[in-house]
Amino acid sequence: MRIKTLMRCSSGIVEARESLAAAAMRLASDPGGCLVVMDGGRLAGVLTPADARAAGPSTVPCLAVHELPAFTSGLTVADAMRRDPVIVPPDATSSDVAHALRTRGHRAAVVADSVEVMGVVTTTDLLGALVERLEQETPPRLSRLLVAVSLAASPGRRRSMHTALDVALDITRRHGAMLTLLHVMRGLSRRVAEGLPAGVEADVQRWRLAEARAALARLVPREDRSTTRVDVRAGDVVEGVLNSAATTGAELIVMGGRPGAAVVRETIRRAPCPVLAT
Amino acid sequence: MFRRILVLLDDGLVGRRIVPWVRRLLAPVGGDVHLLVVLAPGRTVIAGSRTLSYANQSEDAARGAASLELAGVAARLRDDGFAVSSEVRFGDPRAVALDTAQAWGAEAIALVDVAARGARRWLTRNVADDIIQKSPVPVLVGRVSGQRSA
Repeated sequence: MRIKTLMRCSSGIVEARESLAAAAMRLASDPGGCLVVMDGGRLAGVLTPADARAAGPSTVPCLAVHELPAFTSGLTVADAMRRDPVIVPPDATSSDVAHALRTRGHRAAVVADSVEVMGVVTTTDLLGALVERLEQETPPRLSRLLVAVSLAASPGRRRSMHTALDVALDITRRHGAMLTLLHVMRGLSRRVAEGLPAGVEADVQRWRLAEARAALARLVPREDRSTTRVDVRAGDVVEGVLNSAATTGAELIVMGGRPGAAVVRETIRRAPCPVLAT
Repeated sequence: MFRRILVLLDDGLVGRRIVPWVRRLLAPVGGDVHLLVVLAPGRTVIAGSRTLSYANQSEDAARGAASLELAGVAARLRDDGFAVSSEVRFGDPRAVALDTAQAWGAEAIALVDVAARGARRWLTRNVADDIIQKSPVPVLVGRVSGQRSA
């Protein structure tokens, strides 16, 4: 990728003798940017937010009280800027620029032709381009999906469960993916558990898990059984979904349930991958 | 499987983190993607007795900047073979997204959940929550950070 397609306008041009505090304020509105520093009409350096922070007053209050305000307020851009900046032509490749920045320990390069400054490229810009390239290289199809369903008896929940399962099966078929069909069942209520003879609770729980597993297996159409595995867990629903997603390496979680339900919201906030709420 | 996905983006285009997931989801079937940026309505800026800029002027400027960003996202999706349209609108993102989804015939909505922190979490309603609650079509929700990339 040529750097002319990646460069950005600089956050501005400052004179080397200008106050560092004023320059830092200009950078505050553009944290990923950098200022081009001129001195007497000649390019003198670049100033990034990190450079300004490093030279400016301490951000640690207990240290800042020992600094002389007269000294820190008297700092100029020249005191903080990176002198002898990395200058690259607009036709340079992004890898050339990244290599130059890494070698010289700079955070921003100036893009200039033989006449004038055209823009700047920061490490943030290069990192963004790298992320995009990595995402392009990712296999385009999904390979592992998780669908969380509820086996509750209410008609609304059953309808929602079938919608989520249908959507997940459809995506699985088209992507040639593996699907994990998950149901997380809550533990026995305390009143029921207390009413059971000692040692029976574990047996009841095992029986419930087996029943749920059989019920889930019945939901999977015959043609999808080779690509679908059933997972039944007990305990907190959100934790169960998140643990199952982590264990199976799910790339997408499909969830039914009441729209806007706390379980769906909480799963979205903590899921390791996107959630498709049906 | 859905083939028409509305992607809701914000002014900082933080929401474009969901775009690679949309690309992966639609990859086997191809499809139509509608990129929608919803911005806060412009305000007239007055200093003393002088009007520095009118609401429509600030909206035009914001629309121009967002359109520029959108063009890059749309171009990459087109390169992948998707039919892409885009638009910038002003107003409440919930209402605008749901209206646009209905008008455009979206079969799913994709967005990034930008969770508010601190007191704002309790004082303001979450856009993603509201859209999930009211949307008649499935909603694909990603997060800004802490999530695997596509």
